[in-house]
Amino acid sequence: MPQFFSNKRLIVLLVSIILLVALIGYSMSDRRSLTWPEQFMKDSVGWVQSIFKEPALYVAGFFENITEMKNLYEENQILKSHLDSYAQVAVEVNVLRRQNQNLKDALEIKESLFDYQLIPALVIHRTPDRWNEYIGINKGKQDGIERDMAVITSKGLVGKVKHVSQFTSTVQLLKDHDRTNRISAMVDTETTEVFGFIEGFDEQTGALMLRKIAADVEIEEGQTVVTSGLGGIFPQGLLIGKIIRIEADEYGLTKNAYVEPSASFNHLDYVMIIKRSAPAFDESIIQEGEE
Amino acid sequence: MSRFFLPLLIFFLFIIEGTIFQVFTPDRFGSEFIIIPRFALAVVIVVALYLGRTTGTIYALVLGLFQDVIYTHVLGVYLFSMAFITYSLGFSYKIFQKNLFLLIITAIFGTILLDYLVYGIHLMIGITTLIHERFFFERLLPSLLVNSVFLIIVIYPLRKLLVYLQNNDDIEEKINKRKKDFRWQR
Repeated sequence: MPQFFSNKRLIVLLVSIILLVALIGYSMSDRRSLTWPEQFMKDSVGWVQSIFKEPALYVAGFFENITEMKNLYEENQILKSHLDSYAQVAVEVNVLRRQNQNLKDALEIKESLFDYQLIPALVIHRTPDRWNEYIGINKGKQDGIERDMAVITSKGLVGKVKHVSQFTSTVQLLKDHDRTNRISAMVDTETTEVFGFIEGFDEQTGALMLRKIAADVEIEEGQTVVTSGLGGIFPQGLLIGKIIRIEADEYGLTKNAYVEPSASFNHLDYVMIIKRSAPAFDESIIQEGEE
Repeated sequence: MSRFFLPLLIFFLFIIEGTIFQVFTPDRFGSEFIIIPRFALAVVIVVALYLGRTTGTIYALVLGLFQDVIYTHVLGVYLFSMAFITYSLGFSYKIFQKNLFLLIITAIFGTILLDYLVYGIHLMIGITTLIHERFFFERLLPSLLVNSVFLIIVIYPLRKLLVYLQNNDDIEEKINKRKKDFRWQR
């Protein structure tokens, strides 16, 4: 057996460790957009992945249907009881929407933070090692996707777009352990809106952390948390979850709340990307301000 | 034709790890366990044991690059770890090639090593804060089980393919050598 670390090999090993550190440092920088070789690789592999994913989903869907059939009857009963109240709410919403539209017309407000359009996408891959909570979707820059757009399922917010290439993009889920993974949110209390940030994920309870809530406001367990729309590209009012626990933070200056996410992070097959109609941040305004 | 078959096989395993496998993961059914599939790396290590260190390391480099660009988004982590592990485990000796058990053990050892290396690097650069005990019981042990089962199923046909490729290489080498000798003679 040859000697494992000859001089030449040692040098190669050291150089590659230096390269490793340099590469990690380069790719950890926050505002990095993908270089074109990366985009090309991601797009071409993404195309193959979408071919693989569709039949797999079909097979999985078949098994899920079988398990669903078991509790179909009970579900039906519950849904029927919900349906009665639904009709009333639907009428109420319609009336309010019309009223809102009329008032907006009267005040000549054209855009609000609520307006958005949806782009549906197929989830083509998920990071298999789960150190990063990333999923890949089959829509990219050519379909109008941009960095930091909100991604939802029918049940609520799941994450935001992290990297965009031409035909695919990568979504960072809310539960990802990244310091920059931060979303401005608000608690919908009956009288006021309480603002905070969704930051981090508590593994033990499976809940998202809503941090930086002012210490003097009153919030309760069971209240819903939605996006505030103040952070930039997200629209207002996307459902995030319900508060399950409230505690003071370690310094006692603000409050932290544990938010149980309404959307499941494990059943991600189809997602929707949200494109806000209201302009996020007009560059011309800043330039005018500077002059 | 047979020359392209091996890279294609590894590429498909790599794709399956991220797409088809993710449809059937245990956390989809509400389980705490996380299975990290390392099918492609296990195959690459077996390839290195048969076709030599250099070939194996080249496969590992390309595989690591793909893993980094497509899944991890931190360049270099898998590129380095996979190449390093394949290089250090790629003993292309006859004892390893004849014994299926040794092949499986080496490849599984490689996957464990990779998981630890990647865990260490991610802990260092602050992507994860998972404590070791939970990493060991929730991720390492279940993935170890699944990867072993995969290898036990695949190892026999894989060995046949690799022996075939090895023979092909030998024949080609002989032909090249003859050609060279022939030139020398003239």
